[in-house]
Amino acid sequence: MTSKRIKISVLPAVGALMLAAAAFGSSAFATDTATPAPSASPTTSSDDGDVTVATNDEIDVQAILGDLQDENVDVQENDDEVDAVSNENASEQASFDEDISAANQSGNSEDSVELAESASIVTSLTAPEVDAMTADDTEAHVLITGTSSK
Amino acid sequence: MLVAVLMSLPLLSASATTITQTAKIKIANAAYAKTIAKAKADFRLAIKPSRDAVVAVGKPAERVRRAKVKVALAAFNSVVVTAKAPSIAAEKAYKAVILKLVADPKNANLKVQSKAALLSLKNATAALKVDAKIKVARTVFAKVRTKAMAAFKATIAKAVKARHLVQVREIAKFKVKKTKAQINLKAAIKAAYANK
Repeated sequence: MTSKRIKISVLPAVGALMLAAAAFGSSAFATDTATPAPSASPTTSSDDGDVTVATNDEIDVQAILGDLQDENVDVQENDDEVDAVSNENASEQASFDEDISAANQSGNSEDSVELAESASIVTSLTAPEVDAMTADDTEAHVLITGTSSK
Repeated sequence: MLVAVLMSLPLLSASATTITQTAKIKIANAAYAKTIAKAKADFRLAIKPSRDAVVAVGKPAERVRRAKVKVALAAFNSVVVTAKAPSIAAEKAYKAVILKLVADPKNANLKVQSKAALLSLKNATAALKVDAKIKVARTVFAKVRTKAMAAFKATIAKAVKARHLVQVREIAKFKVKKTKAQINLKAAIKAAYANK
């Protein structure tokens, strides 16, 4: 009686072990399912065998052109002339900032509004030219490297 | 025991099916990736000469353009610096007074001086906004800059157009290859699922 009770209680345990082993085997393979192609990145739906491949030609082409742009390094010249003007403006702005700080320290904080206005006028005199030069440089760079292909 | 083994057989069979499908899908994906990689390589190779041609023409043309702009900018800056001189001088004068006032905040005379210096600065900067010389210099610079850009574009236009045509043609070729590869991939994956 005792041995029969043992057999009965062991059987489900063995079965459970077998099932667990099978399940482990299955899940181990499941983790090794189709790896997406590295560069093409197709996606597949395995639920009902209905296959979809999602890709984007434009992104691929732009990526390739981007790689080629990297190969054409050193196309863009240094922006020395633009930088010089920007640095000069920054230096003048810093000087005005010192004035504002000093005005506040001396109890003349009301001066700061007029100081800020003056700073804006002085430092923005060449801003339109800097913007225009920067835009030209960017356009020239794009034309040379050919990043915008349609 | 026998019952348990029999119970697990369908699961083992299902695993075997998964292995076959997985292997087939992996092969199909690998073939797709290989085809796309080849198509990309072909594309790059085909468009490179026309791209290099633009760089060969464009780099010296860009140097010329920038040299012209640099000269024009120097002339413009010279006018601006001259025009700004009274404002900068007024700002320095204000700074000198206000720093003295920081050291001696209760000095009424310094306070009066600081307000006078601030007024001078305000007037000097206001004059900058309507400075006729700056206005003329701005126009001259804009003309030179625009002309230099136009010359640059004209110099490289032919090469850019050729590059564009090559790229359009090669992109079309690439897309055809890619579409074909996608069709093959779909078919291979469908076949893998059909053979359950």
